[in-house]
Amino acid sequence: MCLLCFSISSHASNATALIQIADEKQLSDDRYWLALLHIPENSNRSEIVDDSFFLSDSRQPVKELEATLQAFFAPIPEDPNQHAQCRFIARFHWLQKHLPELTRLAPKIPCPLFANWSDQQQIGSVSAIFASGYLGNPASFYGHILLKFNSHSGKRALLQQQNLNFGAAVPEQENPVTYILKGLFGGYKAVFSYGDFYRNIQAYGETELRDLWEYQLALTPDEVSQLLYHSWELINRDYVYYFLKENCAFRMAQLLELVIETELISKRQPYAMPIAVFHRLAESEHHGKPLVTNIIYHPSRQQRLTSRHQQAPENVRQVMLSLIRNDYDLKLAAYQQLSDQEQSILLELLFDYIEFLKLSSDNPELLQIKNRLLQARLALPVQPPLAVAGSTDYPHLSTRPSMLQLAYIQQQQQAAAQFRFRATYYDLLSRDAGRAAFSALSMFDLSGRYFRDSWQVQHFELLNIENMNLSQTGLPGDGGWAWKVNLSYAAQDNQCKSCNTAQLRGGIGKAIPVTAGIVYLMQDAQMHNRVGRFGLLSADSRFGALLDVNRMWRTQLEVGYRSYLQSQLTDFTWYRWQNRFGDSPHWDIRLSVSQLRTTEWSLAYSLYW
Amino acid sequence: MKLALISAAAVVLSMASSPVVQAQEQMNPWTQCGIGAMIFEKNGTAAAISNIIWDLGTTAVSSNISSKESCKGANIAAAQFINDAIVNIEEETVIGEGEHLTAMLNLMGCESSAHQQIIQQVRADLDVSHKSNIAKAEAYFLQLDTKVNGQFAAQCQVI
Repeated sequence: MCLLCFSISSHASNATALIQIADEKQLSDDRYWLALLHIPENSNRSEIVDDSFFLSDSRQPVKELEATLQAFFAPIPEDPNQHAQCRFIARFHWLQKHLPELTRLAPKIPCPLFANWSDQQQIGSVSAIFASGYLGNPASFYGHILLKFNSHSGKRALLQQQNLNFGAAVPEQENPVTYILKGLFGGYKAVFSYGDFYRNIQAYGETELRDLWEYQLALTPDEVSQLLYHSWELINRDYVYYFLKENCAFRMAQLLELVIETELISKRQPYAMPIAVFHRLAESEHHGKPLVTNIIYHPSRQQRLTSRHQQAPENVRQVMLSLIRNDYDLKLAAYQQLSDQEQSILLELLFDYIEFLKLSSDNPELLQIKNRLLQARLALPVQPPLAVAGSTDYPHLSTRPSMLQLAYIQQQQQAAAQFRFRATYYDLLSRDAGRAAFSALSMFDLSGRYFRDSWQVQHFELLNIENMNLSQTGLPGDGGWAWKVNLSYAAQDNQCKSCNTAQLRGGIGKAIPVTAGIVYLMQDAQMHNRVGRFGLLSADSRFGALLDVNRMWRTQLEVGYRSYLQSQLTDFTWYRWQNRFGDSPHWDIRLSVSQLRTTEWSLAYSLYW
Repeated sequence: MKLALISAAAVVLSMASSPVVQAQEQMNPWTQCGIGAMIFEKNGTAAAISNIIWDLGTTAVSSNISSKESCKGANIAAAQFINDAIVNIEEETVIGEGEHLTAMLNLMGCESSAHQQIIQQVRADLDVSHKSNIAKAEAYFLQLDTKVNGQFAAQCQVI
């Protein structure tokens, strides 16, 4: 008992002595300490709102440091995982570096939970993973970022690697309006959480058909450990979630910035996008070398189907189509005539195809069909599957998401200057990389025109989405209706002045891949707010082509017919020809001509960041 | 769910009192731990994460499964994995190789040098006729578990 008293007293005095040294060294003002507490620059308040993350009542950096040192000397509880040395491993290691006596004096505490989670700390590297955007779900348009801790233990295969994720905690069955408002204005808590990589493969690659791009980072072993330690501290700690800015991109970038000096996300910009982090990672150097050492592509089920279908011999593709059209009857002569190897390729293609179909159909017959195909493959010899082609279409090569554009406009012998800002993300002329081809997704797109000695708002798009929903294989069920949604405030044509109207546009049609591009036919309907002048509704029937002439030049030609319902305005035929020159992620030049009651030329220079 | 846990607890207690039975009985995580019916702990916000809509963090549920001691451990992790990825596992088994099979056999504690042989044996006895993915996963696990604890017991003690 006396020994215990002495020990406690001794630990207390050791803690006090170290606190004094820490004060002398002003460790509580150190940028790293503030980062560990998630206290932003020019603030004295942590962004973490979880009581369990703090050991002091005041949460002030100096008090927290004192409380932390005291807690490191606390007696070992029944569950050692609850000891501060196990809960705040990053703090412990950082303080050990600055207070070498801490290592000698502090009690030695085992942390079995952390050891298990970190695979006995055999993590050799860290990867940042980009999950491509998903136009099937509005909140997934911008993609996602997560981290992967790569164990070099032979016991953990790729799918067993540990992931770190960040996301909002949203109650089930949340009302959509509440959901949007709370998401935008900080109504939800968010946490870091973990799981095995296979869960992400399942959720993204198999269910949402999104590709994953793994960027392996050149971090030193010490930096890897720092990330690992701090990640452990952050798991399940509450933050306030803001969809636009303090989201996964912001928090993951912030975490990586603990060991990477480059700013990976703008702290001033009012929105944060996952792809922006990958742009910064890809262009960053770390210790004089590129930060990204390797990029690994984890294709979705749909991409595996597409790739293997493209690689399969022509006769196999034909028989595949025949089987699909004949209820997958494997007695079909064409199938029976294939070699074992060809049959294997075909059956494996059908596995991908059936699973792809199952995502949009509850038809129980698909499972029975799959069982028959599996049984047939089981009867064939073991052989490696057709490899999925790699891709160098890396997401970071895409055009940067935000745009500033300056344009010269010529219309009926009159010139104008136009200034345009678009917050995000890409349009039909943008270069495709790591996302759905020939699609558009933009938000907050504002154009102001200087004309006749005054500025006027030419165009404001709150939202524009165009998904061509292309079939990659030509197989039944692959691809679907092309669609468009647009919410904007814009002029009705080139001729009218002061004729802007708020409008909601929806369109549906069909797009077909052709050599180097697509052709499409769409029927749009618009609803306007200035009913007296434009009527409530108008419609556009349009036919267009979108082609990559070469890597540097994409062109779009669109011809349409506008008709107004219940309006004095006359209907008219129109066309628009637009071109993008350049393939830099940072800039391009755009030349366009449009004829909407009158002709307008435009030459624009765009900057992206 | 509660019934499943109670019955699981009862089974565990009875097994604990009879070592001989414990050695012979095969654990079925689907009936004894509720795999396929739940399975993540409902412990506050962590389980409530559903970023599927907001995305900026997809369903990132911590990977702990049932809280019963008997429902923890390597085999249960393997059972969970098989339940979650049975579609891929089944495909890779009929093909004869794949990343999911490697991860699954790692989770079962099997040396990598034995993987190919185990896959061959599982493939030889594979029944692909089950009417649901849960039934497939359960049958697959039980078949694999028998082999791993039987003819491959010596090669599957890595954990």
